[in-house]
Amino acid sequence: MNLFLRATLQATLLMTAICLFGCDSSTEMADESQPPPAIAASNNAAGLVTAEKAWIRATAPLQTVSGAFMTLANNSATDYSLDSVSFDGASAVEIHETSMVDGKMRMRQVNQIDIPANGTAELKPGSYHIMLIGLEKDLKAGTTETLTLTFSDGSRKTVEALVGDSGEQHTHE
Amino acid sequence: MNKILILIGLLAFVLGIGIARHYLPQSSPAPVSEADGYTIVNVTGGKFGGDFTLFQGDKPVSPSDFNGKLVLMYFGFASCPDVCPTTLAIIASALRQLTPEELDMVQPVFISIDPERDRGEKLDAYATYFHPRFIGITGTPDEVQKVINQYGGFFIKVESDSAMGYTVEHTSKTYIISKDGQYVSILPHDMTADDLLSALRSGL
Repeated sequence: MNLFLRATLQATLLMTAICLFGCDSSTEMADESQPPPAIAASNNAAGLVTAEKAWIRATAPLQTVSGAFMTLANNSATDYSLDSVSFDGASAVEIHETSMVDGKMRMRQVNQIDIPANGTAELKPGSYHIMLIGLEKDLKAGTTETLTLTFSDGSRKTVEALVGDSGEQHTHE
Repeated sequence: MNKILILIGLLAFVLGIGIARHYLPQSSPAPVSEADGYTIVNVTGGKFGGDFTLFQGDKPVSPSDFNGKLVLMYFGFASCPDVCPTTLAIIASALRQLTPEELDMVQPVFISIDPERDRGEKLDAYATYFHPRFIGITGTPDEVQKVINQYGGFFIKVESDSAMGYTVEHTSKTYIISKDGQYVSILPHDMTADDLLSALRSGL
């Protein structure tokens, strides 16, 4: 009887351990592959922030930089920020802000883009954008590229971005 | 001692004015007309607009080479990910709406304000990507600064921590030099393709 109890206890502990491990790894990989359902599956920024209308400007021949744009919508009561972005095929990816100051176009690197609780952050020409630097190949209009966003809570989300023809279809929206 | 200090101060002041005159853009003259979305000004000898020479590769190019045509000019740089390609796409969109006969009478010119990075083959490839009629020209940074000043604009190279090394801050206006070279239409950075199209057609 004692022996049976001990075995049961051990089995329970083992199951708990497996569950914990399993649960942990599932939060790590959350929403990378599956779009968040109506009620977000997880409690991190990757699950609670959606990226819409993502596009990357097609590059002219020999042009080794480009900009990526999208609308980030925070569907939660927690403030998050976009802290960094990675892109295969660029030697560096930075977050920049363009602004017109005294009639002069200025571009500055910024550390993050705030995505306020229940608010949005717009990455668009003439404002915030993701700067892809040192591109290894031309980005052709009509193709799709993958960006990986890292948020302030460390969670990551992959976004498919359409490569567009120098923004023309977007500037008249 | 005091006299020397005053003298140094005066010298610095005069030098400062000289430097400012060299680098600050000339202000645009009073407009001849202000239509929707653009301004037309007179070319005034030595004060605003007029001819200049920059280079397409090794070949000298001047607006007066295209006398009888409208010269459409934009100053920008190829590593500019945002404003320049947006404006160039708007210019291309207006050019595509012209009839072939009208297009024959327009010479679009892209002037690079980043000659260190935009040289030779790269500059032409970049410009013609937006529209095949574009030519890309540039010069030394001083030569280009002089030309953009002549048209009331300016640029400044800004060092940064970015992996880009440096960026170039600049005015982003589009200019159309009239067929006879006497007038310049100036369009703001937020012009639309329709604004540009109507400015081009009124000059044709």
